[in-house]
Amino acid sequence: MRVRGTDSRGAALWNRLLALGLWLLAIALAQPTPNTPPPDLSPRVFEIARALRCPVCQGESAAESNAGIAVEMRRIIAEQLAEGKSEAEIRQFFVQRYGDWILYEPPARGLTLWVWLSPLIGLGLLSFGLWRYLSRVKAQAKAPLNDVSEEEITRLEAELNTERSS
Amino acid sequence: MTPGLLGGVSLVAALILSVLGLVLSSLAFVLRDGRYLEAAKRLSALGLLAAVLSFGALEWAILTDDFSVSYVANHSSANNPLWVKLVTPWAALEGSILLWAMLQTAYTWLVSLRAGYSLDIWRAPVALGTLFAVQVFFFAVMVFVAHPFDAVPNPPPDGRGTNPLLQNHWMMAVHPVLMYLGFVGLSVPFAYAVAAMVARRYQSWIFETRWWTLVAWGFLTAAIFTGKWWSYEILGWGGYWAWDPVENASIIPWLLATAFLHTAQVQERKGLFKGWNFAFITLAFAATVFGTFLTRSGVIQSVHAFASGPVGAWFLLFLLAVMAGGLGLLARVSSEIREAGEVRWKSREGALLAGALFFGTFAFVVVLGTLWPLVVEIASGAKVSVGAPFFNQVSIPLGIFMLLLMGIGPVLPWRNSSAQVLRNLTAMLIALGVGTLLGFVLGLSLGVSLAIGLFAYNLTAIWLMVAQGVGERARSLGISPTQALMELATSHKRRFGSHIVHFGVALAALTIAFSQTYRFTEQKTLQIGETWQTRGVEVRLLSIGARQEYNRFAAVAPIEVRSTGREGWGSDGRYETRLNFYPQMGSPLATPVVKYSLYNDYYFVLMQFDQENGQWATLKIIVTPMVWWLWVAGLIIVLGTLYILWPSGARVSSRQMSPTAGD
Amino acid sequence: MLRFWPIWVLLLGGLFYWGMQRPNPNELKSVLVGKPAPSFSLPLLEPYRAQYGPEMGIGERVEKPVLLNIWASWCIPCRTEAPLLERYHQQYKDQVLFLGVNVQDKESEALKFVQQYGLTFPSVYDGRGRVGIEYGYYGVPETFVIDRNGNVLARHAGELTEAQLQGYLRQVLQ
Repeated sequence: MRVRGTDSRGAALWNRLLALGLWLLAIALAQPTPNTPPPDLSPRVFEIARALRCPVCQGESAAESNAGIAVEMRRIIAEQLAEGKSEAEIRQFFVQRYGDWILYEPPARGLTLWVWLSPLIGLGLLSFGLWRYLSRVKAQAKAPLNDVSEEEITRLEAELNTERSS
Repeated sequence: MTPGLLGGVSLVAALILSVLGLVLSSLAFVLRDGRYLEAAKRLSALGLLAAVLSFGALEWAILTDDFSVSYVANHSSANNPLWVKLVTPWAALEGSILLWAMLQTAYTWLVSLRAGYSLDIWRAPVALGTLFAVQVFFFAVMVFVAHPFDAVPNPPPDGRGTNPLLQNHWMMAVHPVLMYLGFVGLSVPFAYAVAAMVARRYQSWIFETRWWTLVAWGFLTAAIFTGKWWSYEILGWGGYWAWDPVENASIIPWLLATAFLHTAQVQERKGLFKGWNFAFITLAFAATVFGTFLTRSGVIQSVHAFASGPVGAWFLLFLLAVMAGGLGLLARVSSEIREAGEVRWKSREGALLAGALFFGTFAFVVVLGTLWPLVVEIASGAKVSVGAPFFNQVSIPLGIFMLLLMGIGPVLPWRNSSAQVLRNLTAMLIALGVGTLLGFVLGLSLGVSLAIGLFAYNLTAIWLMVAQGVGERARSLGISPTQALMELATSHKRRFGSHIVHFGVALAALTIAFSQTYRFTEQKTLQIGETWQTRGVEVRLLSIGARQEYNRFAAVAPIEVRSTGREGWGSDGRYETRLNFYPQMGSPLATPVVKYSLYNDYYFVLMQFDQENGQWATLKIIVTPMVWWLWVAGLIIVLGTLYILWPSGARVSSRQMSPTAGD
Repeated sequence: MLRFWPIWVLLLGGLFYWGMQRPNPNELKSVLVGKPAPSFSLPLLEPYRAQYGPEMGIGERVEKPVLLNIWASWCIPCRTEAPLLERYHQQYKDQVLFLGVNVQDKESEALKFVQQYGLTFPSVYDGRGRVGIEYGYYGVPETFVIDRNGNVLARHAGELTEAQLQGYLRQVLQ
């Protein structure tokens, strides 16, 4: 068992509740966070954080999550922006520590290049299928009628009949 | 009689009835005996009854706080307000499967009413048998692995409570039900397709299946939009679509069903694309099962996942069975279907086909993007993420093509195009150019300008088609244009409904372009009384306080907002930002205050506050343009669908389906 | 393509089966393994200052192998892990440096925790968890095994069992 995701985040905020003292509801294990305000964050910070994955959360970005790590990540981004670092450098900072996993946008190289190519692959595969289909349709349209088997004609007639009766 | 007993017994009854239904349908098919079919039809009604009883028993147990029932003890609380109790059945795994199964029995019953009409003795047993088989699966899962009515030996005084995310917004009462109505609804077209493939009647199934698909599609669309709404108003991150795997799982069947709705017209009209239609609808249903599997197996990380358990393996087997059955039949059928005819690219069918190509591609991209992290992990052991920035980027070109085709398709006639069509297309292209240029002049980004152009383009297309139709009719019959419009709108419901839907889609695309491009987020810590100037508004923190509500605590920070510029128009007022603390979940929920206006949409979230002295609070402000219009667009699409489905009296099949369509 | 449908179904089934049988689907491999451990120096928690000085951390060079344990007082698994670490610290303190990093915590709570479990191995205080991010942590507890040359040998996410701890110690002392 390991504290992750909602647990740790929950614990974090839970404790604030305790500390408030107003609401003596909690008995809990609380993650005491320092009672200091987080830094003010510019729109740019959120833009960058939105493309980064929050490490402890189940699929939330560092811009959205309230987990302690995400709060700290936003602070790091703000600090590095103030130092004049570029967006690419800030991303690189996190990739060096967490690997490509932290990027919501997979890098266009190696195995994840295929994801970027997927629209082309999909379009290609479907177009190929369509082309084969259309050429078959054309061939069938040209084929003489006596190629149609007795069995199929019976079936088609039966289908036409049910349609009329329904 | 206790709710637990009633629920348990009726669940077993429903399972037995479903198995019997499957057996009788099979007998009817093998022996070609109508009596077995009649019996199976009755069983479908009984199955519905048993499922309703079981579901009612769960509601009963929740409403009477019967904590000797495992589901109630684990997922409800005596303190919950009435409406939360009413929606608790679909707040967790077992109950959601029960709801799903109940809706499935309802659809099965509706289909059984069609046996003897559009479904002949060749096909009815197969269609019903398929649906019974699906039912067997869901009831078996409940009876054997995810039993909602397990007895709790020592009932606790209170339950563990309901997931707070679901309690925070009334939309959660609606969204899952709509989603299941859509997902389960797709089982019917699948059953029709299976019946057609087994009975080897490849043409006539399409007529009625289109209606069923449209019903499911309408629910699915409504579910997706309510889901976006919920995500926007509850999750507090200022967005409505995160491309989370579970959201992807809901969009995949939607895309495939949309593709089907379009190519089905070609089959109806020209008897072409039969094989493709089978494929689209089979895959659409498989995609619903895929989505259910993803949410319940924990195989891929997601915010929306239910707690995973042994049901994952069951759902996997079910998914594979559906895929194997559907694809196996398809493989057999595709070599046999006779499709004779000619496809002209420069006609309606060409546009419909190209549209289906893009819907299919989009679905392929979403599936691949969702699964790729797993593939990469198998191949290299490394973890990667494929998330919103990726999907947003690839959606842009695909979306542009789809919007272009959406305009062209209805304008092109089935036959060869005429001079009039060329004039129309020219007008549309001019609208596209003018709209895009207008965007540039206003200083908007390339993408947004293009979105404006595409909106104008589609609007022009719809306007031209309606105006020309009305004009022609008014002239030839010598009636007033209003009267001609009324007559056309009632006699060509499908066409007019599709105009409405297309208009909604064009509007949705426009709002998505605006809101995704110009979202503004900022965070600042304010002392009490301090004001904050940002994006056209002045925000003042008034106080910080605490409050106890029925089953939660709330930290509240009221703020006063004054607009200082044109951008902030409509945002004035006093609002209460808050963090809700639920005892059963450690994590507090930031409930954003959302202030919609016709253009910018203001969104305030309380992030943190001074726990010791109550002197400061950290606020996040998110300004997004046009989100309100996205909900309008969703409503328009759903209303357009309803317009098509609304029984006109003349159409037998639509009258039969009115119980679902009218919901 | 459609002819090969059994293959497609099997591939999909295999993919999902593999995904479901992973013991921990959320596990994330550290990119630091085999690389030099990031250096840092942080103030020690008060009880350790007398013996170790005001600050401690990982430098360019380490004197002996290090077992870097990231923990927090609010983390439940840390409570069962703490006595285990303490026991092995007593046994191996001459050969391996046990170093705790308290993250995302209040100092007073951390001190209480240290006292409660009688932890004698030093712990530094990192209230915001900055060092955690330097090491790419994604939860607590998390343990990094650093060899004599200052390279990360392994990262263990989650609570250590005794056998695992022994294994890491053996590996690092070879």
